[in-house]
Amino acid sequence: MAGQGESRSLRLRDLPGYVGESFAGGPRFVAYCLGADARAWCRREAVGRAWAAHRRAVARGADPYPTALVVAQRLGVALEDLARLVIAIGTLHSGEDAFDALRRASIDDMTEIFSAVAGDPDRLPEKLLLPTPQTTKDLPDDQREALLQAADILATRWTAQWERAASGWLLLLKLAKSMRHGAPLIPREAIVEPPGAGVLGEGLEDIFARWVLVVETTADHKARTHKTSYAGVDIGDDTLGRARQVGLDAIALTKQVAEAHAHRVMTQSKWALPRDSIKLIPPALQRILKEHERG
Amino acid sequence: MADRVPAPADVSDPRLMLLPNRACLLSVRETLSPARRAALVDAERVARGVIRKGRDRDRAQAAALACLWEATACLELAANVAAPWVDPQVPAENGGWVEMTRYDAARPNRFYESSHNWDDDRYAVLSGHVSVRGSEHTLLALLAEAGVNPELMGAYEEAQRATASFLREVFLQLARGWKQFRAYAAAYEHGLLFVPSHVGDVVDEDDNVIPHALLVFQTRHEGSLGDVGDDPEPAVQQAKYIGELACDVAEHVADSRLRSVEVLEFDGDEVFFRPWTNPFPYWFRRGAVSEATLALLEKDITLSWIRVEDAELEDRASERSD
Repeated sequence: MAGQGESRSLRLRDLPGYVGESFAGGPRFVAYCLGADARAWCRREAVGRAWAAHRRAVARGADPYPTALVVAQRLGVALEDLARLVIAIGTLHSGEDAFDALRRASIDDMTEIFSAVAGDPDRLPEKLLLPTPQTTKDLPDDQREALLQAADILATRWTAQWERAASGWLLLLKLAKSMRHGAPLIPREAIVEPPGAGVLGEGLEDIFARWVLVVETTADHKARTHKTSYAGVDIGDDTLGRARQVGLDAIALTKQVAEAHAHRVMTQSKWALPRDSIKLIPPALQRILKEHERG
Repeated sequence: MADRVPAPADVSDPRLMLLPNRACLLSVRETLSPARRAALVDAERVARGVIRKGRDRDRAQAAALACLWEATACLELAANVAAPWVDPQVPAENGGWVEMTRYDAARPNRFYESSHNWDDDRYAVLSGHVSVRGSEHTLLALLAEAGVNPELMGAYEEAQRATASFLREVFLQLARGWKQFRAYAAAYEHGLLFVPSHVGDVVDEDDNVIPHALLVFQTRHEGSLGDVGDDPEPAVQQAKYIGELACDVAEHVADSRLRSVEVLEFDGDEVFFRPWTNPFPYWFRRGAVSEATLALLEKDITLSWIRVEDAELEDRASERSD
């Protein structure tokens, strides 16, 4: 395996020339969105296999902690994709490179976007580039009605998916980050059963059937001091089952939003809606949208 | 000899150091390492299946990247469990758990990229043969003080040298794996940044396409990164090997450290010393020590403790019989 040598470079091909314009977000961002299907497949399958392995471990009475933590980690990574994508989409029309925004987003940026959009769901259609009453003013009435009805159905579904993803973000982020960097995640039994874990976990109530202690220490090198905080994180089957649904929702939403953007750019359309949302509006309105469909 | 003897009164408060260390190390040995191994095996199996089917290059890229990411997580686990003793960055009065629970983004880089410069004493820290980097407290000195017979001491000394030498070889491979995989792992984790095969190529300065099995946008640099060749399977196989080796290291470090903690028995507020079975951790290939040494090491050795007052009574009894 070798890294990129100086004499080698990446060439993106078969993309229209206008992908560099600000509405598209740049060639790298469009290329990224064109990979949405394989990305969603990879994330969804990884979660599905981890969940199946966990269910098998529980059914045969094996230690459930290792498999539960793998599920949680894979879910956390999937949620990150959604936050990065929506941060990148937020830069379109701004002149900023959307792909740079996507890859450079920090954990704080992602926490902020989950919270901001969940806290103001009315802005979700605009954030995810759905048609809105403001952006469709110039359309003929029949097209506008058809488009807004389909967008409304989609917005309801996407808002619910977003809210679930936002609700699971902080928990899954903590577990995913600890798992990725090899930080100790101490199973409940090592805390509550003798001899215990000493100062770690002191004062916590044992209120869940299966939980891990997440421990974070920060150090002040100048003062030569450190500070440790900890929390018990529920990874029981009910919670993990809900988290799994959160992750699968996030994967589906990420795929639809990325594919819609790629389709919008490649067909030079102003909007792109998944076909299943169009099927839910009255047939007469479906016909209107089909007449104006591209690609 | 007693089954257990009270620990000396000057043993520090176990709540502050011993018990948190024990819990963290147990979580590595019994939870995190098994989790990492299971996830790695799963990712490798799927990647090889998708690659062999050969139907979808993008899925093959994504699945291969997943495997490289799993291997990198194994490498970070090994670095995080070992660094508190090999490369402590914060005052360690409270023990390794403080360092293990502190996120340090530079730790694995520092750990693997410096490992080729380590001396044998530093490798000995990984096995608990030396308590912490730069310390004069060694397991050999402790066992000599405990009166272990010279023949066994000789075997332990040989085992210590062979273990350090073996770990040096292992770390050469782990460091290489870390360097190879880390950027791919970051690309997988932070957005799964592969370049779809139908829109991306790697070209040389004359615009000739160079076959690349894995092509990702890098997370931090402007460039892209490619795995040379047509077939991502060798990278996947290598990732599995490196990931498993890293888990072996993580378990060796945790297990070596736990041996000296597991000799303690906590009974309410009291702490006792239990008999100490196989006190000397070692890890090397067959043939690295003589057969006689290996035979000694493989014997179950148990050290028992003698209460000071028992020893005094025995001394007095022997004085009387003289």
